[in-house]
Amino acid sequence: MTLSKVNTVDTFTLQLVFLLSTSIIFGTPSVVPDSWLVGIVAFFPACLLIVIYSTMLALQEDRGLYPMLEKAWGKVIGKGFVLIYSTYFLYIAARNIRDMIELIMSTLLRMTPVPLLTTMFVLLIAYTVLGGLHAIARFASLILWLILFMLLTLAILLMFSSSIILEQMLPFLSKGMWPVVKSAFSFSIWFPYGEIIVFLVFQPQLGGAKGFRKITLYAFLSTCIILSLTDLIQIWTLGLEDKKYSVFALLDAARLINIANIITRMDAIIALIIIFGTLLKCTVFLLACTEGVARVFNREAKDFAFPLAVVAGAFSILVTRNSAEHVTEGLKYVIYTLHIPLQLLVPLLTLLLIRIRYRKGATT
Amino acid sequence: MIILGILVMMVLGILLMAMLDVLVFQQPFFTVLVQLLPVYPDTSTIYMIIGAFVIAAWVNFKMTDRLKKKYGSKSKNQGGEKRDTKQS
Repeated sequence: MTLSKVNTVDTFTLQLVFLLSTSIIFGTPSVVPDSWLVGIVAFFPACLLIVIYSTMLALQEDRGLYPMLEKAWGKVIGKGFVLIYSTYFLYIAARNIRDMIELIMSTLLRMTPVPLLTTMFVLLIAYTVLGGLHAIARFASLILWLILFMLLTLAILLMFSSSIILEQMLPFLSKGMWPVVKSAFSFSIWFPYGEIIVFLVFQPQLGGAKGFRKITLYAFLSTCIILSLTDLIQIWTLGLEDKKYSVFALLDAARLINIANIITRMDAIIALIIIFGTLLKCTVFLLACTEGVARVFNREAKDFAFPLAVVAGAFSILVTRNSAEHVTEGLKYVIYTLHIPLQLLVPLLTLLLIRIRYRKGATT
Repeated sequence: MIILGILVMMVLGILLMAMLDVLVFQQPFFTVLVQLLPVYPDTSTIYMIIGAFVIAAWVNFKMTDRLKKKYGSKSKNQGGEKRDTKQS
């Protein structure tokens, strides 16, 4: 059976919204004062990931990640890797759900019980997964315009309410360029750019190696520009110190909007952007997870959508005990124990194995 | 197989979270695992996990089709027959 392909524009919007969604909540990690520069610096090494992933795809005739792992590592170890990647995607989905629940609990629905919110959200995610990649991609096109329109509105309203003070971004590079470069390599390459590995799973339905290279490059570039701009807006409105200690910096920036005491409390708009974005990101991760589990257990992916979504919801409650641990775990331990091995080391080893096992002329 | 799949994913997920908690809290694996398991005081996750297995069992044993066969198909056919007679 041949799968119909998602068109280029939809693929681009899907990747862009995917990259923006949770990054907009937390922004670039404020471990250095000039965090807006970190995103720009991280863009260049992140392009190396595109090269690795597209080379993998080109060598294996645009097969998805899972068949590629099985082809390179053999049936048994390959299936083990498929399960590891599925668990990784499920875990990241759970973390994203937690991010959103934390935000909703602190801004919109303070009295609503967490399990109720989580259950409702994961059922929505599972329902979206049933729609398949085409439906998700069309949904992304809709969300992207909403996100861009709302961010533009936010910037204009902040300007009119005299909250933007350009001097707040000074002192510029007070500790030199090295901390910025270090932060880019330690955090920003892996989150959000490295998470694009999930799209390797869907390559039979997307553009293949050639399309992946081009579309992902444009998506990375757009993400870099938008994230840097939102970081700048946060710094201009909150200042370097306040941004550093703010958990949801963009939300706090939106709270400052006040035009003649009529247009106020615009943080709900930001919360909406984040909810839509997180919904899409979790859907993509859960879809990838269901495809992996379905491959290992020889069932249809949609059979796993609802149960795995509920498991992701339960994991989102178990994943950390409080938000401080959540942030520390995400910034420090998840990067070194999960992101770097699964986004860089395993793909590199797989690429190497494919090169050795299927040299030029040998049949794949 | 769906129930088995969910069980495997859940075990792997809990092991992964426990491993990360070992790194964060610098405590022995079993201490972290026991603290992670959703037994007490917040029991809501237990209900969610049971819910996941119930849904998995529902899909695995094709309960919708079975119930449709037992209760739903008769009335549907009757409706179809009525519509057919009207059309003719």
